[in-house]
Amino acid sequence: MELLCIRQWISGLLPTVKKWLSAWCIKPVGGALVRQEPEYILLALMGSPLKKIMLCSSEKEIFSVEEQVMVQHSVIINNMIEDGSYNHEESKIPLDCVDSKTLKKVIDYCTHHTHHHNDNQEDLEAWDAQFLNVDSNGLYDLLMAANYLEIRNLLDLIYGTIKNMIKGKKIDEIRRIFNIKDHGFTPEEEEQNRKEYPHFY
Amino acid sequence: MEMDRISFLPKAILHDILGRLPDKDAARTSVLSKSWSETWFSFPILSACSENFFSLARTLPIEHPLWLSKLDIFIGYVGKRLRRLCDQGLAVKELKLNLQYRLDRMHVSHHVDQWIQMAAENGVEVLELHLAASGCMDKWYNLPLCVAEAKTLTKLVLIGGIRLDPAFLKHSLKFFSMRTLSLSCILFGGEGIMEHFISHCPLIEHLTLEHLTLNFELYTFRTVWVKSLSLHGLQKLKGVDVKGIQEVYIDAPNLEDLSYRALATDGSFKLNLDSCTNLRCLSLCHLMSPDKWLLELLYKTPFLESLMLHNCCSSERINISGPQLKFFTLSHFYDNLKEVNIDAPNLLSCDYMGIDKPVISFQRISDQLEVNAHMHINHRHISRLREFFQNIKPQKVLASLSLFIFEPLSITESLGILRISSSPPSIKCVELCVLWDNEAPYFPFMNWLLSSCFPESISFSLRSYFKMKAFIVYFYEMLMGSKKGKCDCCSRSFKCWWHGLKVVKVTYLGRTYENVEDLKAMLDALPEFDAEEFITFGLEL
Repeated sequence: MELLCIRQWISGLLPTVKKWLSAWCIKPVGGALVRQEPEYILLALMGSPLKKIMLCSSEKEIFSVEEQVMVQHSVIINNMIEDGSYNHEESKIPLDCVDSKTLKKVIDYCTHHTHHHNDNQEDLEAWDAQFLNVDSNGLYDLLMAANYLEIRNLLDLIYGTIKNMIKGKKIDEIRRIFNIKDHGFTPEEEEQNRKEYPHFY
Repeated sequence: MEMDRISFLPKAILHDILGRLPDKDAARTSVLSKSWSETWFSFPILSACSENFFSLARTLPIEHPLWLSKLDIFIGYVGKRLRRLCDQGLAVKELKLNLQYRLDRMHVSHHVDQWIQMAAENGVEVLELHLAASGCMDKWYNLPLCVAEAKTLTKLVLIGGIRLDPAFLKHSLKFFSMRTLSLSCILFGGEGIMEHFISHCPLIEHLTLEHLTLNFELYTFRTVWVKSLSLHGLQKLKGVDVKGIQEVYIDAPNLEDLSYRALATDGSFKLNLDSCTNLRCLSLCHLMSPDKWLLELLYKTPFLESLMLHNCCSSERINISGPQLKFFTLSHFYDNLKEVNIDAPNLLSCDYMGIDKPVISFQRISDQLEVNAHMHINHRHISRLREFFQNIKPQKVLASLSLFIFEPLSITESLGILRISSSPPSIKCVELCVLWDNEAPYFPFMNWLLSSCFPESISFSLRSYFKMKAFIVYFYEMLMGSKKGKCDCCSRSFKCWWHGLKVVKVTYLGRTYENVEDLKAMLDALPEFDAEEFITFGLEL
């Protein structure tokens, strides 16, 4: 059957469904049940309402993800939902600073950590290490996204990786890792630095 | 072609990264490139430690030109960073200075005055000053009065050769936001200064007062310790750490953490905690005969979760009770302890450290209780060790054992391998620190140990690696069967570890190796040993 037919069929059933749901103590809120997408009603009937939210990347691609997952990890999204500025039925959360590739990775991270938070530490760490196995551009994109969405544990994870790029390494090595081709100091300045702080090099 | 993106990330992110790096590495980024230099000079956390900055041989005399030039660079560096922050109108959020060289001779003190003033006038939130204490108290560094005006200060830490002048008493200290105050080894120029400081911190949450001296007679050079402390009316006070003050009265109903160490000389103390019924963690050190007082206190603090008693001289018996007690640590080195009775139904771990071998018994226990014993052993005590294991009732709670043995032990027949009357307890982990090179006593000792208990794993701390190397290798080869010795198993009816041993796995740095052929070679080939690491042999019987 076409989706439209299903919709009409369900709309026809609605009064009965409403009565049945109220008998089961699921209250429709301000007529929202009537206006909801059919999928929601079906899910409610099946007894497992998985509330989903829509995130929209800078490339206008829409990602649907469980509300619970994002609320647990992202302070920004949690605040948006708590103070009511996000309306479930109609809006999607626009994330103009995050592109699709990065947004997908962020959602991956949050979903895995929510569903597997009972796993043992070693498995989680192994998964995280694999997750961060990206090129440096990807890493910085993830960093900016995690910063924007305020996802504390992802930020800490990425900071840890960057910290290791710097810790204990000599200046020339760090310049190579970060691709600093032109350090911007005048020759006199560079010489002055090397003289004053030889232990840095 | 990859671009350099990291240098141009938002400053807030870069500052976050710098804040997580150790000071040395963070400072290093300033010479990476021009933009990193700018990031560094707008980084509001300034932490400078003279030891890291220039490590010079201590044998160099103070007037040596090399020393002087390094000091100049250090002063220039700190001054430059502070000035750059102030010029940009940025707040100096944190200023932490650790100067291990005497300030008086080098006229560095007026630089330090300037720095503290710049910080105080520019929104400093955390001020830490750590100086080397000198023998002559009249040469100590006087904390500048501008600190009193630092309204934004939330944390003040003063350690070492710092003197607080009585002039502070005339100042109303603007410590409205102060949450952490820590004074260690500070000299007060007069009476009442400590109380003055504390009373001006209404929102104080953590207070640390250690080894404070009061010497208002400049030229007698007698050390007069601060004798009493009285804290009241501090509603937000959560944690207090006091060392070396004899009489302490605390009236803080929200206090959760208390750590108290009595004056080392005699251990006498007078501690009044009657109103601190919310106490969760208590740590007591060097108290003389606290038994009765402690029992009363435990009765008054029903929510206590963690209790630590370090070297409190007690009678032969210690009784501990606590309905919510989860962690208990006892360390006792007086050689008179005979019994420890613990009534704590929710206890998760009990740690014992010492030379005594008391009988530890538990009235009511939970399933998760783990007892960890750390013992120093010499030949006088070894006979009682086995009794000690067997006396811990119920037996299954002994989870780990750490043994420190400094002198070779002669295990003679009389110590009784034949004396075992019951099956040895099974323990999760035994940690050994065996510091003797003579090979002869190795085997009898191991035989004795492994017939007193069945450990699932044996660990060796790498802190004493070089001294223990021979022992570790010998032990492994013994387990693998290449060095045989006499084992009396045929005379007993239960499992003998020698014949029962099936598998030995070696674990180091998280990786496990099985069937290692030549342990010595493997150890020699491994990279630098980290003193915090362990080598563990996993045993399966």
